[in-house]
Amino acid sequence: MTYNSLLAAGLIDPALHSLIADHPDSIQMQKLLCQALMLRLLHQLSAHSPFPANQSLIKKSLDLESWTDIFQNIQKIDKTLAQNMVESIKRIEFVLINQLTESAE
Amino acid sequence: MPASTNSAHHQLRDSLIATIKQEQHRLKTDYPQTWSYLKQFNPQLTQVDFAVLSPEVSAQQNLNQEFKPDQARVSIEVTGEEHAQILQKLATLAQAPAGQAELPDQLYFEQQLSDMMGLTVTAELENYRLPYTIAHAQALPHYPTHPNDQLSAHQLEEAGLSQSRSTFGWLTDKDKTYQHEAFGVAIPLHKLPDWSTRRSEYLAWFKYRKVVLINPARQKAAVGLITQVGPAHVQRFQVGLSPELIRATQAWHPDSKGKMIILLLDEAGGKSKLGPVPLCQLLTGETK
Repeated sequence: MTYNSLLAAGLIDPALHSLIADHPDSIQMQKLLCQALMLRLLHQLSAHSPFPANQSLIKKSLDLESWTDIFQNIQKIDKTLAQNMVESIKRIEFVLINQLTESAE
Repeated sequence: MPASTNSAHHQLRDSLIATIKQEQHRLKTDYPQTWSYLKQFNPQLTQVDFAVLSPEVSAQQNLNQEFKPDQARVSIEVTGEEHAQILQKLATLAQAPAGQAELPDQLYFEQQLSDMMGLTVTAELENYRLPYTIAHAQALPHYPTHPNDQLSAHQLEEAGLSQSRSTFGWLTDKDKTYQHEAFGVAIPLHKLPDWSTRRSEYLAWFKYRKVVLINPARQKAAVGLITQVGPAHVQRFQVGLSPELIRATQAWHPDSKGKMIILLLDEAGGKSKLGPVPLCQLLTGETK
């Protein structure tokens, strides 16, 4: 899953994107965010159907670079799960921005 | 750079690392099996080595250790041992009663077979599904490709020549005539849901659609294409194969008793040839 594909899908909060884009090690920050989001995604896939039933879906999700492809792949299995993942991504970003705002204050 | 900006940068980095650690802990605690799988196939996701380093040191270290989406790609290579395990599971699945595989099984085999064969195989394509993914195969005779077709014009004459033409009519494309007849597959499309109202739609979509036939008991696979609606006795046979495909897949063998796994072939990544295909590229050394 790449940062750019999340950005293209409108899933990166503008405030967070601004912080990441301004960071001197912007690429590294993008990758850290993707890592956190992918871990959450894996948690949700595991909650939906325990291992090894979800093995194929996990493999596919890790293999795909585009968020849209991952989303469509999961949507084929369970539309609610796919939608929940979008919400989770937004929630993680929301918490991150809150933390950063609080520390700045 | 102002001190406040520098601090904000550090804060962003620290917050992201803290989030990763939190997510790692959650996954490890709640789903240890997924975590173990991840450690084996994608260790980058389970590590944040640079988190313990100072920003100055980590900047250089990150160049080598950073999380790269490319590295996150799971290796698709299948070892010999895994290959044997997958075939064993497939053989067990093929002996199940005719019908659709359970969703987890289906997803697992779609992925494993795609990796093994180097083809994209799927039970569902463009929201269309085959009526049976686990089926008992019937050996069909040859089908006449034009009104004056004779049995002598076909190979494997012992299979005989049907008196009726295929569902989709005569084959007019001379270049494809032999291939289409030789690797024709009959699928009971009339068992699809809403057949009575969606007949023309189904026929249009499934006409000459490529399918992959797998006989795990003999480790044989072949690519065929749908040229017929049938067989007639669906309770007994759920797929009909041309004489050439019966031979290519060794469906006649006592070990398999005609039980096959049928999946749709997704050719979005490139066209595939009809006929026998290796079930595992790793063992044959072939590449895509």
